Amino acid sequence: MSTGQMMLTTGAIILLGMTVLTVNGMYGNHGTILRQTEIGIYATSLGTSMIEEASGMNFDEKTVNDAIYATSSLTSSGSLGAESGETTTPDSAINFDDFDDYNNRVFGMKVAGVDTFTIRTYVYYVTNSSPYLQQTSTPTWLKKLDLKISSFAMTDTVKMSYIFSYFNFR
Amino acid sequence: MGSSSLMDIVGSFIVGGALIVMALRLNAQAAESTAIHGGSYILQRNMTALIDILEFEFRKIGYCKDWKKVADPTKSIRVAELNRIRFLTDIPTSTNPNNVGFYGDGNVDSITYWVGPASELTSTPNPFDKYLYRQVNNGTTEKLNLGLTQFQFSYFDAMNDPLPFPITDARKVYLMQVSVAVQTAMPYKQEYVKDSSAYDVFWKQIRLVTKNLKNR
Repeated sequence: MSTGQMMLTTGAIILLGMTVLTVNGMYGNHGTILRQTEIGIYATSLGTSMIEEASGMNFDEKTVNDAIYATSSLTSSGSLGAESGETTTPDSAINFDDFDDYNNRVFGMKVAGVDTFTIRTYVYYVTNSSPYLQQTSTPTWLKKLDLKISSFAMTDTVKMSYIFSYFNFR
Repeated sequence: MGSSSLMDIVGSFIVGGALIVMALRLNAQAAESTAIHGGSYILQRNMTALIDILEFEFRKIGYCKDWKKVADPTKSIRVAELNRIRFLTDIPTSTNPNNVGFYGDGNVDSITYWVGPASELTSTPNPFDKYLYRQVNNGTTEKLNLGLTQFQFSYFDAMNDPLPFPITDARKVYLMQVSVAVQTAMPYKQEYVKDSSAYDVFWKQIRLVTKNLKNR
């Protein structure tokens, strides 16, 4: 084999090797993306479960036993959070009885075979008039729950929100 | 033909063979990755589609556009079993949120969900998957084949305590938890057809609360 043919052969092998590496890398990326999507769905389901749990609570500590008819009777913005005796270590919603108990809480949830997820929750009042759904320090009939779900296995944080309004059954 | 020519020919056979093996291996790996990733993608789509359906309907347990027809929402759950549930709701007659039928027709409907045995679904190589059945009122039973292998309910009372089976009084149900697992219908390696680890599994568990069950 002449030098030229040898060089052509070497070049062809190098090209093929680069192609193989590129294709392998591409499929590796696909697998990573799919796994990240799967973990994201796990995170979403945890967030959904927490939102469902919170939406089953009373609107405010003041509405646990009685109906109220004026926003001035609601808990002030600076006092939103779990009341004395409702917190546990580590954080758990087991003693919560109203929606804003989820304010400034950090929950750890382990999904077997996946990872431990951290859920940070914040609750605040939002406006029910223009500009709508903006955070406000004045008590209104609307509270917003923000969740941020993250884990070491995730490259990004899943953020979810839920608006809860005060209602009373007739 | 000199020895150098023979060496060249032998060398070219070796190099060519290596190149062909590399190309064939690349092709096989591409096919395997496509099958596995495609299956995983379909699995995730099936899971999200299933959960969308369940969340949409379970959230409206005890709801009726004509609220007077659901006198006691606590009786909205008629059957509460491990793999079966029947509840009352008002099924929308339109998917358009701007259409009044989106909020139901004012008549109480019942929806039943249950899973069939694994032996019933024979059209897929996966021996663990099952049909999910849905029935509205006493109408036609709908079969859903989404690779479902687990569909279990857990029920909790107002104190968040689990209700043991059998649940004789469904009025105690305040909160429910559904655990769903789906698997790919076909494993990539057919010889592991009896080994469940050969199938891609996706599991999800969500808690569902219906506001109407709080009306008690």
